[in-house]
Amino acid sequence: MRRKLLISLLVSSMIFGLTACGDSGRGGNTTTAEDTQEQDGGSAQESANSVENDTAAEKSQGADSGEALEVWVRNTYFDEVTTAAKDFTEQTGIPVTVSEPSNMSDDLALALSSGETPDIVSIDCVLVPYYASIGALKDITTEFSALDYKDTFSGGLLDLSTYDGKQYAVPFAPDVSVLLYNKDIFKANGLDPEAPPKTWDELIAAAQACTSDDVYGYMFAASDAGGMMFTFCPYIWCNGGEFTSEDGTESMLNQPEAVEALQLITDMVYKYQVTPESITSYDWTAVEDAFKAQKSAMIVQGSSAVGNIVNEGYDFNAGCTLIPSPDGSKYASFSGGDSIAILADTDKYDAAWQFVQYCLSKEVQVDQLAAYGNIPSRSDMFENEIFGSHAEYDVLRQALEVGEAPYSLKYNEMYTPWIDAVQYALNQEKTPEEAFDDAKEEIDALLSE
Amino acid sequence: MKKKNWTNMFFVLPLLVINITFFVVPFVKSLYMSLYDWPLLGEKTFIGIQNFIRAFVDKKFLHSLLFTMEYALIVTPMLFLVAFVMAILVNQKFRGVGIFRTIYFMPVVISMTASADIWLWIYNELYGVLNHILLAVGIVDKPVAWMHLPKTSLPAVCAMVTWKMAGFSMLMLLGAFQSVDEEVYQSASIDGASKIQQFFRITLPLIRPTIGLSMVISIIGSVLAFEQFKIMTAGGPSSKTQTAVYYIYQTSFGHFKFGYGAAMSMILLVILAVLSYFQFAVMKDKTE
Repeated sequence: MRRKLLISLLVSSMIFGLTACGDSGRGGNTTTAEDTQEQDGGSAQESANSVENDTAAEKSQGADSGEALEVWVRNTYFDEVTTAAKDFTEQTGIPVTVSEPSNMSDDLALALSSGETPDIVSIDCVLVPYYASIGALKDITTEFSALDYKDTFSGGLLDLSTYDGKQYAVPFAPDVSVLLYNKDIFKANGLDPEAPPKTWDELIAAAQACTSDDVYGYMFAASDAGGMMFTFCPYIWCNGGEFTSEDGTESMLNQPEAVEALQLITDMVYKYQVTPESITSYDWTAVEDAFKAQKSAMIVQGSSAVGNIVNEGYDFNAGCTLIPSPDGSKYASFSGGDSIAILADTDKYDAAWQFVQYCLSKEVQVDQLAAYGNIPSRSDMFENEIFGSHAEYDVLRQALEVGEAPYSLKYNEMYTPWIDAVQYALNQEKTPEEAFDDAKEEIDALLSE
Repeated sequence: MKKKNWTNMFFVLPLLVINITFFVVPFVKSLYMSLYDWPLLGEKTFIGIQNFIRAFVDKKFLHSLLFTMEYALIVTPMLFLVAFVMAILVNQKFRGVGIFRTIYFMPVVISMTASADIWLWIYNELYGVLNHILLAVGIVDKPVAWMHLPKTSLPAVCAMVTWKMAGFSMLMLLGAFQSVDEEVYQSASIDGASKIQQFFRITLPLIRPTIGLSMVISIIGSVLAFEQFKIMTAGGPSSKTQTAVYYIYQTSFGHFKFGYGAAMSMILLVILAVLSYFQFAVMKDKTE
């Protein structure tokens, strides 16, 4: 009896180690700009690749000097920020350590709860209100107001960086959703490859023309809550609908405009049969792969995919356009991407703000971000040598102008009722109206907590 | 005797320290957190058992528990049967048997995440190799969307887990098979027992404790299922394949409700402890 109890206790405590302990997940790359500077002829890429051998030495160097700025970025922008850090250190002598957490949300949560936070973080812009509301971010209102280019940022993205009337982050690397299409498939099916669909009717017609035994006309990442926010919300907005009310206290998904948008994509599956019935099992990667493998003629993607078009990353001719609207009169896009913020716990505020400003300069916004297919966060930098050479970038600029994103302190919590509702409709377990009615009820309950 | 006790303690001490540091301390901390409204930052408020009451009326948590049990009930016997057959096969004495044991064990050493990614590719509706084979052989006339609905995604995930973990149980059972004294079988042969009778009357009863341990480990692993569903089904569609640990993770690290997540972890702990207790009771070696 005693033996069984001891074994049960041992097993139980092991279970708790698994559920209570969190792996810090810092399995990503880390590099210190000061050390990359010392490597002869070393490129930032080589530095990043040799990181695992140098990490301990680099971090130790930074810690000993007490001056190294610690910057966390998501993997999408790690290479660009690493290069920027190296250049910043060359110019200012301030060492910078750039880390790429394997899961930014988990790692930042662990860092905040343990008090071991970085100085600067580049995070998903929709999460800034939440982190600002819990006091995790530094109020930069005064410094931001003194910037002579403060009016060049997208209004929507700037709003997302505020909380309670104060500025807590700055838009750093916007990502907007646009429609990508395969020009070769268009041409093969009698469509004009230079005339992508502009309206919902044109979208359906083009999708139907392109659909065959092994190609779908239109696909989307219906297993991914964030992916559906990014790619499907614009359909609601351009139809005149909203995700939440202006004060963020209730969901507006049950309104006819939102229901019609959900009906559109449900019809694409069952009425027009241009989207697979199993679409709720497709995540972001699966949809990307389907487009690359020419199994889907059209998908909605972000800026980096447009960068692929420009850099000839596809094996076929591809194009992009704004996401079609019901009648072509009002367009919309999801303004996502990263905002850059300084953590409240930092003891190197001046250096941190200096680095943030550097990240907003031409050296980074154009020479780094734009070069990789990203759009600058400052409208005064849209006219640049890189963007001017490719018409696709003009689509990104237009998308940023019509872009928006829901402002909420409970953005992550809304994911589940949102994606559940979309999937119920796409699997015909509920009508779009029923699905969004239930979602509204659940989201309203969350927002009232 | 006293010196021997101290020597024994010395050898056990490192593992005890590790266990206390990485399991017991987090357990106590989790229990403490479960009694609080514990946000990511800011004031922690003592709320007693409110988190536990909330968990018992939380439909999503209850559904995740039910789904987890359903998954455990399917994958555990599947995994055990495959491991048992493999153990019997590699318990033969022939040249190169070690290669087979190695091959069967190899999937165990890769991570569940990597394994889930590999099988997600295999099951892919558009270009997965499984559909390619099934179509070529004529078993199906159009690709199967394996990960679409629970009726196919659940068995698909179970198959992946069986492929990955059966080697581990196989090794345990192989060790048990080989621990049975050969003389017992010789005596039974002399008494006229056939191979099949020896297997059911001698082998199985003698390895019963190992079977029990293998099942307990398998059940615990199944109840703690997380990565495979996060990667292969994302808990969908409509949260139908969301396991308990997945929901706890989402609550804690997605919604930043650490106190509530800790309370649900405690409930899961109790369920696991009860399951383990009953399993040990059922599989108790009655020959002792």
